[in-house]
Amino acid sequence: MTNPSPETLPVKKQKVAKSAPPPTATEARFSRALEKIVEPFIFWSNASFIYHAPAGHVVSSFGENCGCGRIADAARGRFGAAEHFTCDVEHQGKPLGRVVLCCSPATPHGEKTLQKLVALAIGELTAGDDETALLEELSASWESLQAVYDLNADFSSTKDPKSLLRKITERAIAVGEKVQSVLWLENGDNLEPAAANCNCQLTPRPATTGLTGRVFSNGRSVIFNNFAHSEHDEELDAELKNAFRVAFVPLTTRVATYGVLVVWQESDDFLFDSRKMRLLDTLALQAAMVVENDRLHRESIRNERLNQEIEIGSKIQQTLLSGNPPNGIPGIAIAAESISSQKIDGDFYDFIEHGEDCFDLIIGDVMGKGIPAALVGAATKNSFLRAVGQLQSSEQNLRPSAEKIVTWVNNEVTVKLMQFESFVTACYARFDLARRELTFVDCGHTKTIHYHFRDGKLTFLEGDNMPLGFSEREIFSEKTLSIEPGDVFFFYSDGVTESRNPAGDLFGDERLTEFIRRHAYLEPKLIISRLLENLQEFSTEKKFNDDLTCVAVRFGKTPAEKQGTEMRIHLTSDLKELDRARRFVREASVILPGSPMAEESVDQLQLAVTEAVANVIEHGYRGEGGHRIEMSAESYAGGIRFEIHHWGEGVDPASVPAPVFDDTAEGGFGLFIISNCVDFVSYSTDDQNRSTILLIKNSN
Amino acid sequence: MKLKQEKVNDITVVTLRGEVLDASVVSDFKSEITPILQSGYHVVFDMSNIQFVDSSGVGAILSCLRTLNAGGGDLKICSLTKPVKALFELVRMHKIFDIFESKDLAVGSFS
Repeated sequence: MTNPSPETLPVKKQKVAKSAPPPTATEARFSRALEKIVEPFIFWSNASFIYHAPAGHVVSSFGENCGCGRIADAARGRFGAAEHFTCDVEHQGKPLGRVVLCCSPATPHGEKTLQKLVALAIGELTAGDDETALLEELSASWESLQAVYDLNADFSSTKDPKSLLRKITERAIAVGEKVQSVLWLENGDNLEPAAANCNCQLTPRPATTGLTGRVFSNGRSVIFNNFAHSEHDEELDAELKNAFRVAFVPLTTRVATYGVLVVWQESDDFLFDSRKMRLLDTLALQAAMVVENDRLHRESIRNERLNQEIEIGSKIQQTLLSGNPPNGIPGIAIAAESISSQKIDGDFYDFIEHGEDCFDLIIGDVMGKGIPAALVGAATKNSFLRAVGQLQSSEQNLRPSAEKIVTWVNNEVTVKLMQFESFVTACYARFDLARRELTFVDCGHTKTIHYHFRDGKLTFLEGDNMPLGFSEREIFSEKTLSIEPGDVFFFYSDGVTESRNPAGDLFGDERLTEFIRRHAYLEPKLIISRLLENLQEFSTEKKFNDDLTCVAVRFGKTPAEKQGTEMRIHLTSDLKELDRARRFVREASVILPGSPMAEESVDQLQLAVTEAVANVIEHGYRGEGGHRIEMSAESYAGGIRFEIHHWGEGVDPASVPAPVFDDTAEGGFGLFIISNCVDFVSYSTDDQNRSTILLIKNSN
Repeated sequence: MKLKQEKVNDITVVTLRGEVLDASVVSDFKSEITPILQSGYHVVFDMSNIQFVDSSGVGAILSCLRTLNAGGGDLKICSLTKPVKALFELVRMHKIFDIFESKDLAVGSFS
C-alpha cells in the first residue's frame, strides 16, 4: 500500500449525502462563519474540519479530508495517524452540532485550538445575529411608519371613517398568517364591531363585557401569548374561543378611549413581540384618531347645518312669506314688518289690491317651527292668492267675499295641514275705503287692535271661527265694522306678545295695548319701529326669539300729489318769524282751495305750521338765527298741501318721546299736535340734505 | 307780553294781552309772570285776548300751575277763545286745568 503524499491528494470537499436534510438558517450561517475562521488555519496546516448538524449528518467540511467522516471515533484515517478533536457547538443555549478537527498528531494544542476556532465562529454568528436583529428592528419601525403614512394619505382623501377603520383591521391581520382582527367602538353603553376580519358573527355587547371590556375601561394593552391557558371566562369574548395568542390594544388619544382593537391567531404562528405590538399600537392610535376626527367633523357639520337652516329660513321669510303693502291707494298709510328669528316659524302676510279703494290683508301663523312650518306658511299664503282668482272666475264676481275666500282656502289646505299635524291661525281683513268699512274673518288669530281716533279708545277685532286645518268642511263667517278717519288697525303675530324679558315675564296683551294707545298718533311705520325698539328694550336682547310680524294700517284721507298754483315764502330761522308763517297760512287757505277752508281748519293749519317751523328753528337749526327756511303752499284735491323745507338737522319723529298728557310735561306735544291737526304729515330728507315736512289738510 | 294784574277778593287775576302766546314770546312771558306767581297764591289767567297758543305756550302755563301748586295755591283759566280751547282739548289740558267761561266764575270757584 502506498501512502499518497498530502500534496497529491485531490482537495475536495466531501459531498453532502443526498438524503441529508438541508441545513437550517442558523446552521448555514454557522457553517459560513466557520469557513471564514478556519480558512487561514487550513492553509498553514494540514488540517480539515467537518461540521456535523445536531441530527448527525454532515453539513459541511473544509480542508483535506482524512476520510474518517464520523464523529464518534477518533479512528485513524487514510493519512495514517491523525488526531481528531471534537467540539460541541452551542448557540443561544441550543445545540448546533459538532465540529471535528482532523489534523496530524504533531499539531500542538489541537483541542484548545479547535475550541477557540469554534468560539470565534460562534462570535461571528452572534455578531451577525445582532446585525439581523437591528435590521429587523429597522424594518419593524419602517412598517409602522409605512402604516402611518398610508393611513395619513387616506385621511387626506375623503374616505369615510368606516372604510378607514376597515383598512386598519386589514393591516392588523397582515402581521402574520391566519390572523383575525376586530375593531370595537364605543356606542352608548355598548361596544360595537366597527370593522372586522374574522370568521365569526359579531354582535354589539355591553362595554363592560369580558377582557375586551376590561381593556376598554383600563385603557392599557394586554397580550396573551398563550390564551388557552390563561384565566378567562370563555363565554365572554366569544369570538376568541379558539384563539391561541391574542393582543388587545385600546384606541386611545389624549382626549379619550374610543374602543379596542383585538388581534388574534388560532395557530402558533408568531409571538406578539415588541415589534408586532409597536405596529398594532400604531394602528390603534390611527383608528382612535379616525374616530375622534369623525366626531369633531360631524359636530361642525351640525353647526353649519344649523346656520344654513337659519339662513334658508330667513330667505324663505323674505321671499315667500312677506308681502308688499299697496302703495297706490289714496287715503291710507300702511306699514308692515316681518322679522325672522333664530327659530324660523310660519308667520306670513300679504296684500291683495282690488282697485283704487279696496284691498285685502291676509296675516297668518302656522303652528310649528323650522323650515317645514315656513313652507306650510308659504303654501297657505299661496292658497289665499289662488282662492281669489278661482272665486273670481267661478262666481263671475271681481270681489269674492272674505268669508268665501277663507272657506275655500280652508277646504284646500286642511288635508295637508292634517298630514303635517299642524294648523294655521289667520285673519283676513278687507278694507273698503269707498264704503269706509272693514270686513274681517278672524280664525283664532291674535286680537287685532282697533284704535278709534275719535275718542282715543281701543277695541279688538275678534271672531269665533276655528283656525284653518281643523275641519275641511268648516264654514267661516265674517264681521263688518265702520272705519273712521284717523282710525288705526294693528295686526300682529304672537311673537310680539310672547316676547320675554330676562325675568321670564311675557310682554303680553296689556303692554301692547297700552303701547298702541300711546303711539297711535304716529305714522304706521313709526308705530312699528317704535314697538320693535320697545320690545328689544323689554327683552334686553337685540335679536328676537320668535318670528315677529306687525302690520299697521292708518285710515287717513289723502294722497300727496302736487297739482295747481303754488305760493312761496322765505323765512329765516328766528322765532319772530312764526307770525309771518301764520299769516302765510291764512292767506294760502283763503286763496288756494276751490272753496274757502273752514275757520277751524285754518286754525289747525296755523297751529300745525307754527309747531313745525318752531321745531325747525329750535331743533333743526338748534336755535341759530340766520338760516334759510322755505315754505310753499298749493291747493290740491279740495285741500291744501304745505311743504316746509330746511337745511338743518332732519327732524326724526321716531326719536321724539311720546307726549304725556299730565301736568308734568312742559313740551313734547309738538308732533302730536301736528299729527292731529292735519290729515297727512311726512318727514323726509333728500340727498342734497334738504329736509321737507309735508302737511296736507283736506277741506271737508 | 303785556300782563295786567288785579286783585279780586284774594285772588290774583292776570289778563294776558298781546294776542299770541307762542314760542316767540314764551320766555318774555315767563320772566314777567314769575314775580306775580311768587307773590300770589290763588291765580286766574284771563285768556280773552289770546287768539293763538302753541305747545310752548301750553308748557308755560303748565309750569305756572306747578309753581302755584308747590306753594299750596292753584291756577285757573277763563275765557278761552275758540282756537285756544280747541288746542287745550287736543292736548287734554281741559282735564288738568279748571277752565271757566268768565272771570267771575273762575274767581268764584276758589271759595
